[in-house]
Amino acid sequence: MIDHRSFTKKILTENPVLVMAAGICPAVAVTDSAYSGLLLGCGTLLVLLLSSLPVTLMKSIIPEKAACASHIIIIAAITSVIQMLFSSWFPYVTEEVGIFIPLIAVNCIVIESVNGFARNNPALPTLFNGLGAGMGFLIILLLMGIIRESIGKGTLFGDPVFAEDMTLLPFAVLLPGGFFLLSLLAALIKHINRMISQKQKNAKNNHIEEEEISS
Amino acid sequence: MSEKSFFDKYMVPLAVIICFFVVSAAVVFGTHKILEYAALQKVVKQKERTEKIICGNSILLLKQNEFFVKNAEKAIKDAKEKEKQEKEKDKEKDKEKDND
Repeated sequence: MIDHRSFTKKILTENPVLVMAAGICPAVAVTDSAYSGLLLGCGTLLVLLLSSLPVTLMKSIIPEKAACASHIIIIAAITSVIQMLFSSWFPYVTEEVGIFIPLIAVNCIVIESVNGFARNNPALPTLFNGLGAGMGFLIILLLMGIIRESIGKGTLFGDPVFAEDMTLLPFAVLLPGGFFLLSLLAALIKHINRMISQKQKNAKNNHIEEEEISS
Repeated sequence: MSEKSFFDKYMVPLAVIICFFVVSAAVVFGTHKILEYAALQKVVKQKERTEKIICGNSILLLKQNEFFVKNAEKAIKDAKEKEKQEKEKDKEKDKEKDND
């Protein structure tokens, strides 16, 4: 039976960017446009999935002493392949994102997911964990890119949002604006998580009370 | 029991790391070559398309040229005939004047 909870957990309660505070640097630096955020998110998701799979499948072959080095080699190779593919398919956006595509290889989310989870778990949970972490990162990057671009530049994916050529808050495109938005999103997700846990607690208490009454 | 030497201790991990390194390098190199080939094919296709367009344009120009030459020949012929006719008319007029 596949455990779907790890997937949803990584998107909401254990979101790599907003809850675990991993990969903040690319999340703030790259998301001044929605395209860049989408590209970097997709790149990270692909690297996560493609590097988790060989690691989890070959965990019995790789000796303990060579594990870390082998994992880093695998991640670096896959990142290089992704970078080459992106620069041939989307040359302009890749140029805009710049150094952050090769830096996926040293992203905390990727290292943690591959070196920590994939090494000790079977293939399917590893895939779900990688998919969840990658999707969590991608969603936040895309959301930040959309908000910052539409507010700061007045465009969305390069097309103008408003009828007149105007920008609401040019501060949003700058780095402090990125940090501000990130903190707002982190507060929002913390609030949502608290509400969910409160609901679960209430449901549990109600269940116990019902059991006590029936007994 | 004798202690293992450095080589015996690290031979297997080292071999595994080297294997991974070689395989990864091969994967990256292979991808690079495939992308290079794809880019080359794209350029060749574009070149062929451009050549086709240039050929088509040249044929069109040739046809136009042929048409213009034909028209020019016809115009020259017409002009010559007109001149001849005018000359004949002039001659007839001269003759009429002489007769008068």
